[in-house]
Amino acid sequence: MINEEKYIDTISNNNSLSVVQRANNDDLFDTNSPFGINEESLATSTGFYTESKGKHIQTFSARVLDWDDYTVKVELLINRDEKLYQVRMFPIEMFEGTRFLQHGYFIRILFFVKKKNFTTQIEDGRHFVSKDDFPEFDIFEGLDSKLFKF
Amino acid sequence: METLKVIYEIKYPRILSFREFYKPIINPYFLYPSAKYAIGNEGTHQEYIRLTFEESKYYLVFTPDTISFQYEGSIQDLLKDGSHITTVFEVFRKLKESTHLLKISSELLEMFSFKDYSEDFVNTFVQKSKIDLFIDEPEDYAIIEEGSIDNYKCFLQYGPFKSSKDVKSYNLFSLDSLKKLEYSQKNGLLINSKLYSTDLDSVNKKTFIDITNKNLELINKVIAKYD
Repeated sequence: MINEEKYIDTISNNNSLSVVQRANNDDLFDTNSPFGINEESLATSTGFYTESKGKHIQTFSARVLDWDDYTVKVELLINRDEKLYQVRMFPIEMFEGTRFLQHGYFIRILFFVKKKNFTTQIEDGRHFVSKDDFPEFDIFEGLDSKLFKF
Repeated sequence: METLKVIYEIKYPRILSFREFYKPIINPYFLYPSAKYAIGNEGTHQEYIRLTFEESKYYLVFTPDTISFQYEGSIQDLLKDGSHITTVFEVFRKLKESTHLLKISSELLEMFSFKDYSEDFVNTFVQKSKIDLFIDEPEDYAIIEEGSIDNYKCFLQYGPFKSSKDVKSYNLFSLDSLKKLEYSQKNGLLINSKLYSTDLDSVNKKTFIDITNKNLELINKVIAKYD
């Protein structure tokens, strides 16, 4: 296909086709040579993980709900726009030695896949997750009780 | 049809104080696997950061007027819940929290799509497009259309895929050398489609899905013509 910068104006005589020479670059359309990706600029490693777990395919914000001796119940934000949440259970061993085992603690769950392998990783989510993502519902709201005052 | 590359951008009016606060927004993503970063125009009011996630095959570029996400893979991957596109909306939301009254200038989706055809696709393209040639020995062809569809401005360019030129011109497979090799022998139709909208109050996964569907509609129409 013809390079945008160098293309030749091959106008068709066919009326059904609208072959148009590209107008002056509109800034909003300009995604060419974006921010040095074409350049041989060096990227620096962040120094976190170097060992490959496979292709990182999905990431979810989540909060810790509850746990017992074996499992941790976690609420995942599946789709923010649709306000879709899902409760999933994770082995307690994943949380051993971390400070994540606190009610309401925000975590980040990352899923990786590679041949014969599917990996789940949890990370501290406090810097990713907004409190608005997990609104607190007042279950007593609107409850009119003569015995208790809420 | 295969999507070779997806570019999704949110543009906003230039923020002069950008370099004073972008680092805390982007820093949490440093813990993503194999993340790399490069800072451009360092020390100026045009400073920006580019994150590269090589294993996940995408770049995230955060500048004083744009969040640009560039993925080398299928658009279908990005439509799933929890996909990497969510990062764009997270970053934009944090940016809005840091700079009140931030407006959206535009939302843009550009896709490079490929449809495999036999070796003589160049001739098929010329015949089916009914192009009259003015050059005796033409080497390459493309049809360009610009205009509007619904609320989107669009740019569409399609023509025979020429690996030797197109891979470099459009910076395809920069994170996937195996695919680059695979495509060096392929023949087919390359479609570059860009859609953008300026009439937006918000950007989110839903607006992304809408612009994607419109873009796919356009691509499928082009493919149908050459099938």
